[in-house]
Amino acid sequence: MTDPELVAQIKVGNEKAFRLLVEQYQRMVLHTCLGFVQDRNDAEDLAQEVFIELFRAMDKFRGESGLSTWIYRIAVNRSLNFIRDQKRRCFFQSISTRLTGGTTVDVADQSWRSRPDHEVENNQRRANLYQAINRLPERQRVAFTLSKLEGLSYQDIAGIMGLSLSSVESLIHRAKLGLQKQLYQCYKKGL
Amino acid sequence: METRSHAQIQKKLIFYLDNQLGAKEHQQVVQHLSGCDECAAFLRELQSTLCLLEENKQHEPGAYFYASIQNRLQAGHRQPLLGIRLLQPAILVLLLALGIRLGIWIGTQSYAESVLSEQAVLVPFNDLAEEPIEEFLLNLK
Repeated sequence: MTDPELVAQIKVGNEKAFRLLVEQYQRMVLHTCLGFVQDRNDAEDLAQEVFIELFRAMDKFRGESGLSTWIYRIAVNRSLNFIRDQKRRCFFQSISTRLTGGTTVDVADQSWRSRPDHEVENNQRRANLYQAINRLPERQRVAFTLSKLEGLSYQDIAGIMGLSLSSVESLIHRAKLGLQKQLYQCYKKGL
Repeated sequence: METRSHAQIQKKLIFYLDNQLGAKEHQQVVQHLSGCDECAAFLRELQSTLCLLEENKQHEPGAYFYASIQNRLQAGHRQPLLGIRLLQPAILVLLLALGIRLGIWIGTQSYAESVLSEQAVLVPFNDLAEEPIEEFLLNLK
Protein backbone atom coordinates (compact mmCIF):
# COMPACT_ATOMS: atom_id res chain seq x y z
CA MET A 1 0.00 0.00 0.00
CA THR A 2 1.43 3.41 -0.95
CA ASP A 3 1.54 6.34 1.48
CA PRO A 4 -1.45 8.22 -0.07
CA GLU A 5 -3.47 4.98 0.00
CA LEU A 6 -2.52 4.41 3.62
CA VAL A 7 -3.58 7.94 4.53
CA ALA A 8 -6.88 7.57 2.68
CA GLN A 9 -7.61 4.27 4.41
CA ILE A 10 -6.78 5.65 7.87
CA LYS A 11 -9.03 8.64 7.21
CA VAL A 12 -11.98 6.29 6.66
CA GLY A 13 -11.16 4.46 9.89
CA ASN A 14 -9.33 1.40 8.60
CA GLU A 15 -7.48 0.05 11.64
CA LYS A 16 -5.34 -2.29 9.58
CA ALA A 17 -4.02 0.63 7.58
CA PHE A 18 -3.02 2.42 10.77
CA ARG A 19 -1.26 -0.71 11.96
CA LEU A 20 0.60 -0.87 8.65
CA LEU A 21 1.62 2.76 9.01
CA VAL A 22 2.94 2.13 12.52
CA GLU A 23 4.88 -0.94 11.38
CA GLN A 24 6.32 0.96 8.44
CA TYR A 25 7.46 4.04 10.35
CA GLN A 26 7.99 2.89 13.96
CA ARG A 27 11.76 2.42 13.64
CA MET A 28 12.19 5.77 11.93
CA VAL A 29 10.17 7.59 14.60
CA LEU A 30 11.91 5.77 17.46
CA HIS A 31 15.37 6.57 16.08
CA THR A 32 14.46 10.22 15.58
CA CYS A 33 13.19 10.52 19.16
CA LEU A 34 16.26 8.66 20.46
CA GLY A 35 18.49 11.12 18.65
CA PHE A 36 17.01 13.90 20.75
CA VAL A 37 16.21 12.37 24.14
CA GLN A 38 18.89 9.62 24.35
CA ASP A 39 16.86 7.53 26.76
CA ARG A 40 15.24 4.43 25.36
CA ASN A 41 12.13 4.46 27.55
CA ASP A 42 11.48 8.15 27.00
CA ALA A 43 12.06 7.75 23.26
CA GLU A 44 9.62 4.84 23.00
CA ASP A 45 7.02 6.74 24.98
CA LEU A 46 7.49 9.75 22.71
CA ALA A 47 7.31 7.60 19.58
CA GLN A 48 3.95 6.24 20.72
CA GLU A 49 2.72 9.78 21.31
CA VAL A 50 3.81 10.69 17.79
CA PHE A 51 1.61 7.94 16.33
CA ILE A 52 -1.31 8.91 18.57
CA GLU A 53 -0.99 12.50 17.33
CA LEU A 54 -0.73 11.24 13.75
CA PHE A 55 -3.90 9.22 14.15
CA ARG A 56 -5.81 12.15 15.62
CA ALA A 57 -4.50 14.69 13.12
CA MET A 58 -4.75 12.52 10.02
CA ASP A 59 -7.72 14.54 8.74
CA LYS A 60 -5.52 17.63 8.68
CA PHE A 61 -2.92 15.97 6.45
CA ARG A 62 -3.47 17.35 2.97
CA GLY A 63 -0.52 15.66 1.30
CA GLU A 64 1.29 18.89 0.42
CA SER A 65 4.48 17.36 1.82
CA GLY A 66 5.41 13.70 1.92
CA LEU A 67 3.98 11.53 4.69
CA SER A 68 7.46 10.81 6.08
CA THR A 69 8.26 14.55 6.15
CA TRP A 70 5.08 15.16 8.15
CA ILE A 71 5.89 12.30 10.53
CA TYR A 72 9.45 13.59 11.02
CA ARG A 73 8.10 17.06 11.73
CA ILE A 74 5.77 15.74 14.44
CA ALA A 75 8.53 13.56 15.94
CA VAL A 76 10.98 16.48 16.06
CA ASN A 77 8.43 18.85 17.60
CA ARG A 78 7.39 16.29 20.19
CA SER A 79 11.03 15.61 21.08
CA LEU A 80 11.87 19.30 21.41
CA ASN A 81 8.80 19.88 23.60
CA PHE A 82 9.85 16.96 25.76
CA ILE A 83 13.36 18.41 26.16
CA ARG A 84 11.93 21.84 27.07
CA ASP A 85 9.61 20.26 29.65
CA GLN A 86 12.50 18.23 31.04
CA LYS A 87 14.65 21.37 31.34
CA ARG A 88 11.81 23.11 33.17
CA ARG A 89 11.40 20.11 35.49
CA CYS A 90 15.15 20.03 36.15
CA PHE A 91 15.09 23.75 36.94
CA PHE A 92 12.34 23.36 39.54
CA GLN A 93 13.96 20.18 40.84
CA SER A 94 17.27 21.99 41.34
CA ILE A 95 15.47 24.77 43.21
CA SER A 96 13.73 22.28 45.48
CA THR A 97 16.96 20.36 46.13
CA ARG A 98 18.72 23.62 46.98
CA LEU A 99 15.90 24.55 49.34
CA THR A 100 15.87 21.14 50.98
CA GLY A 101 19.66 20.92 51.00
CA GLY A 102 19.79 17.74 48.90
CA THR A 103 22.24 16.85 46.14
CA THR A 104 21.50 17.36 42.44
CA VAL A 105 21.31 14.37 40.08
CA ASP A 106 22.34 14.49 36.43
CA VAL A 107 19.39 12.77 34.73
CA ALA A 108 20.97 12.29 31.31
CA ASP A 109 24.16 10.86 32.79
CA GLN A 110 22.19 8.43 34.92
CA SER A 111 20.35 7.11 31.87
CA TRP A 112 23.62 6.15 30.20
CA ARG A 113 25.01 4.63 33.36
CA SER A 114 22.01 2.34 33.52
CA ARG A 115 23.19 0.60 30.37
CA PRO A 116 25.22 -2.38 31.42
CA ASP A 117 26.54 -3.41 27.99
CA HIS A 118 28.97 -0.57 27.34
CA GLU A 119 32.53 -0.03 28.40
CA VAL A 120 33.59 2.82 30.62
CA GLU A 121 35.55 4.50 27.84
CA ASN A 122 32.63 4.54 25.43
CA ASN A 123 30.34 5.72 28.21
CA GLN A 124 32.55 8.75 28.69
CA ARG A 125 32.72 9.39 24.94
CA ARG A 126 28.96 9.04 24.65
CA ALA A 127 28.34 11.40 27.55
CA ASN A 128 30.69 13.97 26.00
CA LEU A 129 29.12 13.58 22.56
CA TYR A 130 25.51 14.03 23.67
CA GLN A 131 26.43 16.80 26.06
CA ALA A 132 28.06 18.60 23.13
CA ILE A 133 25.05 17.97 20.85
CA ASN A 134 22.62 19.15 23.52
CA ARG A 135 24.60 22.36 23.94
CA LEU A 136 24.17 23.27 20.28
CA PRO A 137 21.54 25.90 19.45
CA GLU A 138 18.16 24.21 18.84
CA ARG A 139 18.02 24.58 15.04
CA GLN A 140 21.61 23.42 14.64
CA ARG A 141 20.86 20.42 16.83
CA VAL A 142 17.77 19.49 14.83
CA ALA A 143 19.56 19.80 11.49
CA PHE A 144 22.63 17.90 12.71
CA THR A 145 20.58 15.12 14.32
CA LEU A 146 18.47 14.59 11.23
CA SER A 147 21.55 14.59 9.04
CA LYS A 148 23.93 12.49 11.12
CA LEU A 149 21.62 10.21 13.02
CA GLU A 150 18.88 9.79 10.46
CA GLY A 151 21.10 10.08 7.42
CA LEU A 152 18.60 12.41 5.72
CA SER A 153 19.59 14.53 2.74
CA TYR A 154 19.88 18.29 3.17
CA GLN A 155 16.86 18.64 0.88
CA ASP A 156 14.73 16.41 3.14
CA ILE A 157 15.89 18.30 6.23
CA ALA A 158 14.98 21.59 4.55
CA GLY A 159 11.48 20.19 3.93
CA ILE A 160 11.08 19.02 7.53
CA MET A 161 12.39 22.24 9.07
CA GLY A 162 10.70 24.53 6.58
CA LEU A 163 14.00 26.18 5.64
CA SER A 164 15.93 26.78 2.45
CA LEU A 165 18.64 24.37 1.39
CA SER A 166 21.40 26.94 2.00
CA SER A 167 20.11 27.59 5.53
CA VAL A 168 20.29 23.87 6.30
CA GLU A 169 23.80 23.66 4.87
CA SER A 170 24.87 26.59 7.01
CA LEU A 171 23.21 25.16 10.15
CA ILE A 172 24.90 21.78 9.73
CA HIS A 173 28.28 23.39 8.98
CA ARG A 174 28.07 25.51 12.14
CA ALA A 175 26.81 22.54 14.16
CA LYS A 176 29.80 20.45 13.09
CA LEU A 177 32.25 23.23 13.93
CA GLY A 178 30.64 23.74 17.34
CA LEU A 179 30.55 20.04 18.06
CA GLN A 180 34.17 19.54 17.04
CA LYS A 181 35.26 22.45 19.22
CA GLN A 182 33.47 21.05 22.27
CA LEU A 183 34.75 17.53 21.65
CA TYR A 184 38.30 18.85 21.32
CA GLN A 185 37.96 20.60 24.69
CA CYS A 186 36.75 17.33 26.26
CA TYR A 187 39.62 15.46 24.59
CA LYS A 188 42.18 17.91 25.94
CA LYS A 189 40.70 17.68 29.44
CA GLY A 190 40.85 13.91 29.30
CA LEU A 191 44.54 13.78 28.36
CA MET B 1 54.67 22.17 13.54
CA GLU B 2 53.08 25.53 14.15
CA THR B 3 50.20 25.81 16.64
CA ARG B 4 48.29 27.82 14.04
CA SER B 5 48.62 24.96 11.62
CA HIS B 6 47.29 22.47 14.23
CA ALA B 7 44.27 24.64 14.93
CA GLN B 8 43.54 25.08 11.22
CA ILE B 9 43.72 21.35 10.58
CA GLN B 10 41.69 20.44 13.66
CA LYS B 11 38.86 22.68 12.43
CA LYS B 12 38.69 20.60 9.27
CA LEU B 13 38.83 17.13 10.77
CA ILE B 14 35.07 16.61 11.16
CA PHE B 15 34.61 17.59 7.50
CA TYR B 16 37.55 15.37 6.54
CA LEU B 17 35.80 12.41 8.17
CA ASP B 18 32.62 13.20 6.21
CA ASN B 19 34.57 13.60 2.92
CA GLN B 20 33.35 17.16 2.62
CA LEU B 21 36.67 18.83 1.90
CA GLY B 22 37.86 19.98 -1.49
CA ALA B 23 40.72 18.06 -3.09
CA LYS B 24 43.33 20.65 -2.08
CA GLU B 25 42.18 20.87 1.55
CA HIS B 26 41.89 17.09 1.76
CA GLN B 27 45.50 16.76 0.62
CA GLN B 28 46.64 19.36 3.17
CA VAL B 29 44.96 17.43 5.98
CA VAL B 30 46.43 14.11 4.83
CA GLN B 31 49.90 15.64 4.69
CA HIS B 32 49.56 17.21 8.11
CA LEU B 33 48.22 14.03 9.71
CA SER B 34 51.10 11.96 8.37
CA GLY B 35 53.55 14.06 10.36
CA CYS B 36 51.48 15.09 13.39
CA ASP B 37 50.73 12.51 16.08
CA GLU B 38 48.67 14.98 18.11
CA CYS B 39 46.18 15.72 15.33
CA ALA B 40 46.12 12.07 14.25
CA ALA B 41 45.27 11.03 17.82
CA PHE B 42 42.43 13.57 17.98
CA LEU B 43 41.15 12.37 14.60
CA ARG B 44 40.97 8.79 15.92
CA GLU B 45 39.17 10.00 19.05
CA LEU B 46 36.73 12.06 16.97
CA GLN B 47 36.05 9.10 14.72
CA SER B 48 35.44 6.76 17.69
CA THR B 49 33.10 9.30 19.29
CA LEU B 50 31.07 10.04 16.16
CA CYS B 51 30.74 6.31 15.47
CA LEU B 52 28.62 6.09 18.62
CA LEU B 53 25.88 7.98 16.79
CA GLU B 54 25.30 4.81 14.78
CA GLU B 55 24.20 3.00 17.96
CA ASN B 56 20.76 4.60 17.84
CA LYS B 57 20.02 2.85 14.59
CA GLN B 58 20.38 -0.54 16.28
CA HIS B 59 17.42 0.00 18.60
CA GLU B 60 14.20 -1.75 17.73
CA PRO B 61 10.78 -0.79 19.06
CA GLY B 62 9.49 -3.00 21.88
CA ALA B 63 7.33 -6.03 21.13
CA TYR B 64 4.19 -4.32 22.44
CA PHE B 65 4.73 -1.02 20.66
CA TYR B 66 1.55 -1.11 18.57
CA ALA B 67 -0.48 -2.64 21.42
CA SER B 68 0.58 0.24 23.69
CA ILE B 69 -0.52 2.79 21.08
CA GLN B 70 -3.88 1.05 20.78
CA ASN B 71 -4.30 0.98 24.56
CA ARG B 72 -3.47 4.64 24.85
CA LEU B 73 -5.83 5.53 22.02
CA GLN B 74 -8.65 3.52 23.61
CA ALA B 75 -7.99 4.96 27.03
CA GLY B 76 -8.33 8.39 25.45
CA HIS B 77 -4.85 9.25 26.57
CA ARG B 78 -4.37 12.93 26.03
CA GLN B 79 -1.42 15.18 26.46
CA PRO B 80 -2.01 18.15 28.73
CA LEU B 81 -3.81 20.74 26.62
CA LEU B 82 -2.11 24.03 25.82
CA GLY B 83 -4.87 25.84 27.71
CA ILE B 84 -4.10 23.82 30.84
CA ARG B 85 -0.42 24.59 30.45
CA LEU B 86 -1.19 28.29 30.30
CA LEU B 87 -3.68 27.99 33.14
CA GLN B 88 -1.10 26.53 35.51
CA PRO B 89 0.77 29.81 36.14
CA ALA B 90 -2.54 31.68 36.38
CA ILE B 91 -3.76 29.22 39.03
CA LEU B 92 -0.48 29.59 40.92
CA VAL B 93 -0.80 33.40 40.91
CA LEU B 94 -4.41 33.11 42.07
CA LEU B 95 -3.42 30.76 44.90
CA LEU B 96 -0.63 33.14 45.92
CA ALA B 97 -3.05 36.10 45.94
CA LEU B 98 -5.54 34.07 47.98
CA GLY B 99 -2.77 33.14 50.41
CA ILE B 100 -1.78 36.78 50.84
CA ARG B 101 -5.45 37.79 51.32
CA LEU B 102 -5.92 35.01 53.88
CA GLY B 103 -2.77 36.16 55.68
CA ILE B 104 -4.04 39.74 55.81
CA TRP B 105 -7.44 38.55 57.09
CA ILE B 106 -5.88 36.40 59.81
CA GLY B 107 -3.61 39.31 60.76
CA THR B 108 -6.55 41.72 60.96
CA GLN B 109 -8.58 39.25 63.03
CA SER B 110 -5.80 38.64 65.51
CA TYR B 111 -5.18 42.41 65.76
CA ALA B 112 -8.88 43.01 66.46
CA GLU B 113 -8.83 40.24 69.08
CA SER B 114 -5.77 41.69 70.76
CA VAL B 115 -7.41 45.16 70.85
CA LEU B 116 -10.56 43.65 72.40
CA SER B 117 -8.57 41.73 75.00
CA GLU B 118 -6.60 44.89 75.83
CA GLN B 119 -9.88 46.72 76.27
CA ALA B 120 -11.14 43.85 78.49
CA VAL B 121 -8.05 44.20 80.68
CA LEU B 122 -8.55 47.95 80.83
CA VAL B 123 -12.17 47.72 81.98
CA PRO B 124 -11.47 47.33 85.74
CA PHE B 125 -9.14 50.30 85.56
CA ASN B 126 -11.84 52.33 83.85
CA ASP B 127 -14.32 51.26 86.50
CA LEU B 128 -11.80 52.18 89.10
CA ALA B 129 -11.41 55.58 87.47
CA GLU B 130 -15.13 56.11 87.47
CA GLU B 131 -15.49 54.94 91.11
CA PRO B 132 -14.38 57.54 93.60
CA ILE B 133 -11.68 56.31 95.99
CA GLU B 134 -13.80 57.04 99.07
CA GLU B 135 -16.59 54.81 97.78
CA PHE B 136 -14.10 52.11 96.97
CA LEU B 137 -12.66 52.20 100.50
CA LEU B 138 -16.14 52.10 101.97
CA ASN B 139 -17.04 49.08 99.87
CA LEU B 140 -13.86 47.40 100.95
CA LYS B 141 -14.91 47.52 104.59
